Amino acid sequence: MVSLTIYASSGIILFCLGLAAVLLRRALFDQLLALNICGAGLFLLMVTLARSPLDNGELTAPDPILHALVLTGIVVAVSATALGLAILRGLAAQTDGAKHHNPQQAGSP
Amino acid sequence: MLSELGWINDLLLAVMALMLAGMTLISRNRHQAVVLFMAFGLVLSLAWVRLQAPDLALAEAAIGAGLTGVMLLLALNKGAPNSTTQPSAQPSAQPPAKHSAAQPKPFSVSPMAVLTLALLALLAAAMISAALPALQAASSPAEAVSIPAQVMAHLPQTGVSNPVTAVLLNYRAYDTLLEIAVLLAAVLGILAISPPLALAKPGSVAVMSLMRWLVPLLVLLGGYLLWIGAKAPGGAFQAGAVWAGAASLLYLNGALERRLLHWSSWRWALVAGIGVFLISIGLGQAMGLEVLQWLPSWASWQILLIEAAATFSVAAALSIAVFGSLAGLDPSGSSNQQTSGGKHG
Repeated sequence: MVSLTIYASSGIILFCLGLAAVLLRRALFDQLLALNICGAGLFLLMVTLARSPLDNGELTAPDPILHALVLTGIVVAVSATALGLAILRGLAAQTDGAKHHNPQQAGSP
Repeated sequence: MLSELGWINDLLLAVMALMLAGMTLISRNRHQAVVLFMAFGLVLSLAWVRLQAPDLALAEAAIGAGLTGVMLLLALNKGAPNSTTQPSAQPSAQPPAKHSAAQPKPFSVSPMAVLTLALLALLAAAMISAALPALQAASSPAEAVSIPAQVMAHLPQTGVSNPVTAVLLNYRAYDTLLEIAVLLAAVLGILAISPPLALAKPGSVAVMSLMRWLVPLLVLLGGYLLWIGAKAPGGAFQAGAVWAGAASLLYLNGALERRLLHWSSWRWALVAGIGVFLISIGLGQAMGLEVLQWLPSWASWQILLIEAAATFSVAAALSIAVFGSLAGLDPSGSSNQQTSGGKHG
């Protein structure tokens, strides 16, 4: 029971830490990393909620539907990160091109 | 597993995860941040094991920690595995004290930031106090475990005996269909906007001789995970991630065949997953079944077929995600980073 509380609280705190970093970091790459941590926190919360409470001291089986949802979430998170990184690479390439034409413009993160 | 003193394990894991995440988010050196993030992913997969979610532990270790970390590191190197191009707009390893006047500070330190942090702390406290009663729920055991009980009760009819696989490919097959489609959509986006692939130099002798036995072992491991997914933790996504890891290993050491470096070699693998899924649905409809309804007598073989095709798709998609592009090679053979989003291939 204490374990479930620990994991649920840390999942929520992870989400809030990630959200804080998304709002306060300025570079897109760092925001992408922080979004991944947000997602990890949410997954931790969901899997903790999937554990039904101890029933007369015995462990019941965890809820498989939440597990399947989190597995789907992990795969979707990695594909979104991959697309985000490709977009970042494209942005950086465009910015490089702009800097070569116009040295006054600062590289925008 | 959650024995009397087991909560000490959980406390240590949670504290480690929080510290690693905090250090990742505060770090000013991006390479360090990514490595810390990979460590965080591994600690998280240990937490999945403690929470009795072995499928998730496999997936998190392979995908969350492994493949995401490799992707991020390659992105820091501007997409070329052994790149010597200098990082331009994104400061990667330079300490912030030496930055030029044009680079902004990584954090915004302002009253707004303090207010944001305070509000988020309030949000965290509110969410925790709301979530805790849900953990102590179960006024009567019957209504607390109704859905999992239904899942387990009908498990013999699903054709598999691993409840997570049953949920993924039978009860909630619609979600899996769309998940594979999302993966394909992300890969199409990556292929559309990426510059040509950068070649990697061959790795050192130690790495190449390691790969000689490691890659076949990884292929075998992926096949095993795919097969065992019906009965034990495993399944298409974990197996696909392991195969993608093997492909990434080959790519990073310059050991992929040349014709595999163009997207046309991968297109059948990419569409196999969603294609076989849709064909199964179509065949079911032609036989008079409802959409996504599997006959209990065929279900196990049908699920295995769909999973096998999905493994190829997931492996191909995650490999392309790691490579960062597959838009064919520049004719000169060098990475062409200066063109903006070249429409090659």
